Amino acid sequence: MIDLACAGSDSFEQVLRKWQAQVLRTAYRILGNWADAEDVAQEAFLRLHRHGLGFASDAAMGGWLYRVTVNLCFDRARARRSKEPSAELLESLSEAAVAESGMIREQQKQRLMAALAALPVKERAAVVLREIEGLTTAETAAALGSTEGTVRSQIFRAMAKLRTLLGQERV
Amino acid sequence: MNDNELRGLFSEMREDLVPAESLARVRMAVAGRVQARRRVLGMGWKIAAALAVGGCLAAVMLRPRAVAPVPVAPAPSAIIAVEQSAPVIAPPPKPAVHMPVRAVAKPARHAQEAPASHVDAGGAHEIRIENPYDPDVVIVLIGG
Repeated sequence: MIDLACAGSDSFEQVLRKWQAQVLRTAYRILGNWADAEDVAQEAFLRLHRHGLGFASDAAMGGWLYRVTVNLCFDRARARRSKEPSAELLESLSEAAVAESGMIREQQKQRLMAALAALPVKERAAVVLREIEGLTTAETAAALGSTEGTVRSQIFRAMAKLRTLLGQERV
Repeated sequence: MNDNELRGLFSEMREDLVPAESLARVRMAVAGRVQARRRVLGMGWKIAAALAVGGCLAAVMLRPRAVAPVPVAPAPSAIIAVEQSAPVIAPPPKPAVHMPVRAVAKPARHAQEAPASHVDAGGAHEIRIENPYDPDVVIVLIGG
C-alpha cells in the first residue's frame, strides 16, 4: 500500500497533513471536480476525527479513509446522477485539451480523465483505486465493499470502455 | 492507446500534484469544524456539570428534615426506688420457719472473709453477713 509512517502516535493534525492529498486526489478522480472533492475530503476527515485515531496500523487507517472517501463519493454521485458526464463532455474536454495544451502527454492525461468521467461510478472508483492510487486488488475490494472477483471484472470492463472511448482498440 | 500506455498514464497521474489552495481549504475547513465540534462538546460538558450541581443542590434542599428527638422522661433511678421502698421491704418478723442450711454452708465467695453476726431479733434468728470490700452490701438471713 502507500508508504507512510505508523499513525499510532500521530495527532489528528499530522494525520490530516499526511493523508489529505491522497483523499482529495481520489475524490477528485472519482467525482471529476475539485469543489465536490473538497467537500468529500472535509467530511471524510471529520468522520475520522469522530472515529478517533485508534487504528492498529497505518494501513488500517488508510483502508478506512479510502472506504469512507469512496462511499461519500458514491453518495454524492448518486445525488447528482443526472449530471453524470456524457460522451459529449468527453469529446469537448478532449478537444479543448488538445487545443489548449501543446504537450502530448498532458493531452493524453486530459483525454483519459475525461474518459474516466464517462465511466459508471463504481468502475471508475475501481480503476482509480487500483490503477491510479496503486492499491492491491484486495485493498480495492475492501474499500469498495465488494469482492476481488468483482473488482477484477469492473476493471476489465472499465479498461475496455476506456480503450473504446479513447478511440483505440487493444494492440 | 493500449493497456500499457493506459497504465503508464495512470502511474503518472498517481504523482499529480493536488492544487495547494484546495489542500489549504480542506485543512482550514476541517480545523474549523473540529474546533466547532470541540466547542459544542465543551458546552455540553459545562451544561451537564451545571445540571449536576443544580441537582445536588435541589436534593440537599428537598431532603426530608431530621425529626427532633422527643424528650424522654427520666426513669427513676434504682437507687431512689430502693430508698423509697426500703421501709416497705423491711420484712416483718415471721414465725419460726425452718431454713435450709444452704446459705450457711455456701456463703458467697466475696463474703467468706467477713464475720457473720448473729442477732436474735424478736425470736427470729437473723444472720448478717457484711462484705469487707463493699460496706454498702449487707446480706441479712432471717430464720426461725
